[in-house]
Amino acid sequence: MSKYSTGKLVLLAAAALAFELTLAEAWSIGGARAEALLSLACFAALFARDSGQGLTASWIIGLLKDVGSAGPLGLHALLFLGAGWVVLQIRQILFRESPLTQLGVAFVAACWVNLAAAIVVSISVGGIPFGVIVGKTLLSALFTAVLTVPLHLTLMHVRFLVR
Amino acid sequence: MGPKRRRSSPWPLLAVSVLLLLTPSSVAQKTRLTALAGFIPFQGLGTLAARVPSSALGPSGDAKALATENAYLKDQVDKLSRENKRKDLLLEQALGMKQPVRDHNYRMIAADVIFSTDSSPWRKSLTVAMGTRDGVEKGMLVLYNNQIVGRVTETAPKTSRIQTVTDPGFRAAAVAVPRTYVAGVSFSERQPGVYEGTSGQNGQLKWLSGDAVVENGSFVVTTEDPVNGVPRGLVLGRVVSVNHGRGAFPKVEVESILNLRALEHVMLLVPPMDVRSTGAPSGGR
Repeated sequence: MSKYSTGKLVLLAAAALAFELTLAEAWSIGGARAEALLSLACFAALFARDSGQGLTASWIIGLLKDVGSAGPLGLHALLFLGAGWVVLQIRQILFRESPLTQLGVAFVAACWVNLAAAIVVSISVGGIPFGVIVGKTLLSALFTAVLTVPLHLTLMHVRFLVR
Repeated sequence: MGPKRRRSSPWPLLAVSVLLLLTPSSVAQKTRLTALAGFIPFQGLGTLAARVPSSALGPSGDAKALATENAYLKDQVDKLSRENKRKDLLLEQALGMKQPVRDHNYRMIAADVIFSTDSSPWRKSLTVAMGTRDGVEKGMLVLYNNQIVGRVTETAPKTSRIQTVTDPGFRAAAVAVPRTYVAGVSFSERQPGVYEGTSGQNGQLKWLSGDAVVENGSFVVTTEDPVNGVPRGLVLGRVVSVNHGRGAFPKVEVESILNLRALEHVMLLVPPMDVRSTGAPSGGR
């Protein structure tokens, strides 16, 4: 069982944001890319000591993502909080150490966050074509899920990173 | 019976998020951009990491001193040639921009790009190392040569955020210029439409009338919009597909000519004072 320190996880999230702002875009396909911050938020919710820690960590990680975005401040904080809350509700019935569980959780969370963010952007600033929304959401979710497995494995085993 | 686990409610954080969402962006933008500037050191980490092994495995004694001097001189040569290249590019950009913007005494400010991407996959923005202290204002157009990169949307004292042409919030009045130029036909006689970003690789040219002449490969350029400080003739992209479909308006896809991810510096277009205050140019055509 991996417990974590919220402070250390937030520091890791800052590094993940730097990764998203520099390297991730260069490795994207059709604008879809792996979302390291969301993957960390899933870790925060899956392995939290209690629900308070899970919710706070997910929310702060979402807020960090908002810092790097031109979108409204608080949008990703809200979406990550929602994803974290759902994971905390169902984690009793999940085998969280299993890579398959982590893969599934990250995929569903990425679908939710991307879809909700796309709808908000479409309503607030301008239409995004339906094909772009579906394609980018699914591809991003897939990349995020694939990234989640090695990331969570590392955080579970290299304990000094988060404890 | 074990101790009861305390369940925290998500409502307080949800309320804070909603409050942040409702806060006008002008209130938070300065803090947000200043916080983002804290990530600038990460930009150079790759270069620094590449230099470490060579310095750790250097020779010893006199050879070491010579090697150090040699490395220093090489570094200086590299630095000067980089600077030279940068100046060449700036000059090239200035010359490229001179044609479309010469009539209105527009001023240009060169700005280095800090981050060429946005953390949200649905928004397209880049951050430059130039802010209100250097005279940057919201709404200014950002160019590379005679091509539009985007528009300034957020400003802080030392940094600014630019909404790029591929962002779904970017809009500009535009016309498609046929590849075969028809002499004597002015921009106003061609049917103008509205260019919009889509958050994908390509933008769209909308609201063109059905009989507008648009063909693949046509350049899409701006029409004059003094209110928003947009001169005519700046390139937005190139038409990649035209779908007439069943509707009254054809669906025109426009790809950006620039690789927005690879930009290292851009030019900010500062309209003359009379354009900024009245929204109309004083001289020129």
